[in-house]
Amino acid sequence: MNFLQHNFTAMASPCKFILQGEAPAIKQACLKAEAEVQRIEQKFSRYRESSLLQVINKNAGIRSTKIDAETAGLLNYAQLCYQQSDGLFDITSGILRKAWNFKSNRLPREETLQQLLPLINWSSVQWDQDEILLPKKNMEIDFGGFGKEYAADRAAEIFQSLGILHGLVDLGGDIRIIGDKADKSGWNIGIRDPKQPDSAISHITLHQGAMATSGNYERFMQIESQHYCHIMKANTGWPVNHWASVTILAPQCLVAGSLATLTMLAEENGEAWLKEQEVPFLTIDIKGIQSSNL
Amino acid sequence: MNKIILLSVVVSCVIISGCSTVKPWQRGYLSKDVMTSANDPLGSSLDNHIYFSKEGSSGGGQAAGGGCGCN
Amino acid sequence: MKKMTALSALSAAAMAIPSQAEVAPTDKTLSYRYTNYQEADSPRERTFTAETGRYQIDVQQFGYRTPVGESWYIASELQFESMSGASPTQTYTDADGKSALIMSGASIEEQRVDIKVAPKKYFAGGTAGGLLAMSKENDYQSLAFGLDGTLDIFNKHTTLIGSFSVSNDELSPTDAGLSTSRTEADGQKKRSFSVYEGISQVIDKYSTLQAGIGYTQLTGYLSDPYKFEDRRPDIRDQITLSVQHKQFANVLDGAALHSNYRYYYDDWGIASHTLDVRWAQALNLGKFRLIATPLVRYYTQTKADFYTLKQNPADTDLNSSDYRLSSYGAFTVGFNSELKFEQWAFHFDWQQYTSRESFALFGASDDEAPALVNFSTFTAGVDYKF
Repeated sequence: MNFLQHNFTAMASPCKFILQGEAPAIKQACLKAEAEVQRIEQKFSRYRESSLLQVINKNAGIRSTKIDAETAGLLNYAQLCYQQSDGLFDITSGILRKAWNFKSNRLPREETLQQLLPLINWSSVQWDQDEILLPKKNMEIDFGGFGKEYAADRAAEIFQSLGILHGLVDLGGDIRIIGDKADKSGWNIGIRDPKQPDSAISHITLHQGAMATSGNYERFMQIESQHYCHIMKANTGWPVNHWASVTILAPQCLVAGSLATLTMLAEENGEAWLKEQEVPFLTIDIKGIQSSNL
Repeated sequence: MNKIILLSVVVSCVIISGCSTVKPWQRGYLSKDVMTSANDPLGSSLDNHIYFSKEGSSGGGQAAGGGCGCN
Repeated sequence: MKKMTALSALSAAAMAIPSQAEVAPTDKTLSYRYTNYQEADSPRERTFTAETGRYQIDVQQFGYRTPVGESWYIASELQFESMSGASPTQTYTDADGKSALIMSGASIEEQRVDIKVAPKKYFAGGTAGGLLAMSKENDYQSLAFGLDGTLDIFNKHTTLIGSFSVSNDELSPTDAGLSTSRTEADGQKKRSFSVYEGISQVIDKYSTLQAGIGYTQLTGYLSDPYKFEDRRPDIRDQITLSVQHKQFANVLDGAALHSNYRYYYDDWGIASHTLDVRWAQALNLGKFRLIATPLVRYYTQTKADFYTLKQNPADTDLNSSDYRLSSYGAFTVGFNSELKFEQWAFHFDWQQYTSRESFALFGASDDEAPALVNFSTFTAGVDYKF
């Protein structure tokens, strides 16, 4: 059976669908699945004036914003991540980008951080099934921590509902299998080497489910041989620095991605925590030591 | 007699609705072309028109629609 | 840490995020079908008039389906029919107890145009649509309007389906002066009101079941103005109970068994059973995909209360000798095929319909009905998706 690949860019990442099957059905399905990824990007984008997220953020400290069932579901999910991480994963922490500029190669000023920290407080956000209110002006919520993984799941579900049985969705390295290869030999997927992100340090064969990786090499700066990455702790405003990458396998990409991020945030406690979760994982710490149960 | 048939149809539907847990990602087979092909709209429209004109019964899967002078 | 693992808590929360709107189809499709419909001659030994040839109909269908905006989809169909031939005007039992069939005299030539437009809106939990249909032929015109909707419940395992339609028709029989029945029928109206409620259920990964109930009421001039001694009630209540089952089978490149049963009952005394079974078999042949569908249909109906083969029934009695109201059974055997190649699909379909008094399963009578029709249809068509 033929392999077909559909490439596009979304969420600032190279995205691809790899599928096996009849060309006309696949072409149609790719358009629909890509449209779904674009829909999610536009709805929860921090860069579009008209996105729902921007409306919620602009109304911070002023009024509440009406939300739909999908948004409420994602807020509920974010809440669970907050609880599972004892507050380290907090979708109101996106405002830290105002202090951390990875292109500047300069550390943030402590005063800037002190101004931002009081605005990072998920537990103060008032929300329910119908609306959300960010209580203080300049508070923001950001779905960037799981938007890509969520979109990967939804795109895969669209393929499945259209009768595509063999393929995978890869949005910037967040992968969700649509279905095993026709000959059941599994999809061969590489795990990036944190020190050389263009090559793979390990390979794994997946037949179903999802794989997501959280790494300290995605956005970072190196100052005086100290590594500062984009994953920030909500309580201090400073990045984590124990793991170079965490790769998780789970049935859904959204869950795989969140578990990876939560492990990064847990730093040295992450190892024990991950073993309790009974998920397949591969971790590489900043010293380069690998640990895996795959 | 007709009431019994109707009741058993409704009851079996209610029972059936409790039985299934097909995840959204398992719906691939249900939308495959062989599953939907029997509903070609032009083909069924013509079949319905022919049977409406040539037999004593009509209707079935939907409300009646328009008529013709053939019956 | 926490009692429930993060994996299970997060998985449950992820599953709870509702999946997005019923996605409207995004294809535009242009379709064309040509069908030739041919009836077999009436039996020579029973036909009292010279003409034994029956109808021959050529049908051309044009279809166009397209998305409009983000969540609307419009399906439209234009149909042209060209009919020629003769039809039965009366059947009666002659002095020897055999049925004599009188056919209409000269062969008619008629044209019919039919147009249907059905827009549909897709929502998060279902759909809502409408239908507007108009038809016009030499002696009849019809205008129909309908609304339909579907609602997904139980996490999309179950879909509730509802639709209703009304129609308003007007008769204008050709050569209205030729008989009193034609004159009487000229300008008469026929109205219908119809509702259907159904429920569609996903049984498992490979099968679905739909069951429904329909009710239609026809009022107005319901007799056939071209037939002799044809006087029918001016109201008809009809009920249908139907069940459709689809089962996927992993045979060759995919196959599905479609089974359809309908029970019909009306207050004219007609009750019928219809069973339609098809096997859609897919075969991949290089860049082509063929879906070959053999089909069989069995139909049996009982006769209307006022169906008789009296040559001269009393003028005040309801009466009709129309074979379509007699007791009979019919078999259809057919073969549909669809050959897909890139954005094209080619269709070739054939059906043969045979009806006999002796095929009836219930309420068979000894009356002969020589007007019972046998016909065959052949269709060639093409679809283009873009």
